[in-house]
Amino acid sequence: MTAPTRVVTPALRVCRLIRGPGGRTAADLAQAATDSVAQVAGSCEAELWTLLAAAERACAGLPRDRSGALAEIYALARRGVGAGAVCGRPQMDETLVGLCDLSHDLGRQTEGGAQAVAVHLEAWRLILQAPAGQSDAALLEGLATVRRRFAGTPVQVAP
Amino acid sequence: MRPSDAARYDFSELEVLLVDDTPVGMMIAGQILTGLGVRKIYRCETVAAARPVLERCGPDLAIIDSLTGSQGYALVRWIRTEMPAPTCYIPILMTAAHTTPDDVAEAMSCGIDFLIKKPLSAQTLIERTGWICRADRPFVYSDVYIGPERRGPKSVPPALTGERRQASVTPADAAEAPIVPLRRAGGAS
Repeated sequence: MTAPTRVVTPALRVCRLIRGPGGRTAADLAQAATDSVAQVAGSCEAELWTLLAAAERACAGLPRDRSGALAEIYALARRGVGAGAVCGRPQMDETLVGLCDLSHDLGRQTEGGAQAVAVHLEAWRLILQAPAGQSDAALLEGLATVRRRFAGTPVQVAP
Repeated sequence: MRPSDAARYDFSELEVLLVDDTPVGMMIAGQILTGLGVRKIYRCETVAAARPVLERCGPDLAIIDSLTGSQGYALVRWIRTEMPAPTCYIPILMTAAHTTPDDVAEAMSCGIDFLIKKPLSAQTLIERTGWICRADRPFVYSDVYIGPERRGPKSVPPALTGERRQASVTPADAAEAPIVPLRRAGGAS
């Protein structure tokens, strides 16, 4: 027997607290928070270099252990998402999300894609080496084109 | 200046649970919260670490990453179904670095308030929290879903249009998302 649906409207403590008297405007808060995040820009950039080195090692292992290497690359790219925006390289985040997409899609296939991964890692390195604030739309478009080759390909079942 | 920029908020008394298994995610969200003036942040890298915090401290807001292996969804379900009031009602913002369509459906059915694609920004966090506090969103208990109400025009934040709209989704976006049976929570009022 299906139980009836019940609806309540709870009084949330968070609402009482943040709407209390005083406070600061959303614009001021956003600026303060952005300034606070800027303090960790160096740490984020260092982490991106560390992750890149690990991803390159994982990529080298693709021929030996495809699924393990792809899972590792996915995890490493996922760990870096967000850092690019902090260290003045928002295109880094797009590249990392793209690498997540790619490794996820390749994980559903039994072969191929090593060069596509390598291209993404090379782009990762190029973006990190470029001065902060520099944008290269052509690079991102090129990566997207590479990924489209592997997106949505049906899972191949081994005989 | 956007209209919402003039709204005033005080985050200083909030207790916020932050769950993220990535150093970058934890660092950025922590810095945003610190910049907003939040003085009490419970930082947990694992679900195992977060559960006792939820049981003992009862935070006012939770920012939970989807986590490796989608453990974040299970944590949200646990909060909604196993925690007593008022903790079971806390607003939950879920962050995710990468989402597949299956992930989005899972996120929407587990009982979150918002799914926010990384990179997380201060502006997004302020807007979503502010909206939660304006919306008086009902909380639903049913056999298949426990969490903030997912349907109706009030579920769509009016400010979320254009570019940022693409970066987050509310449960209303996925009202037709696949849903799975849940245990009913006891003791909720």
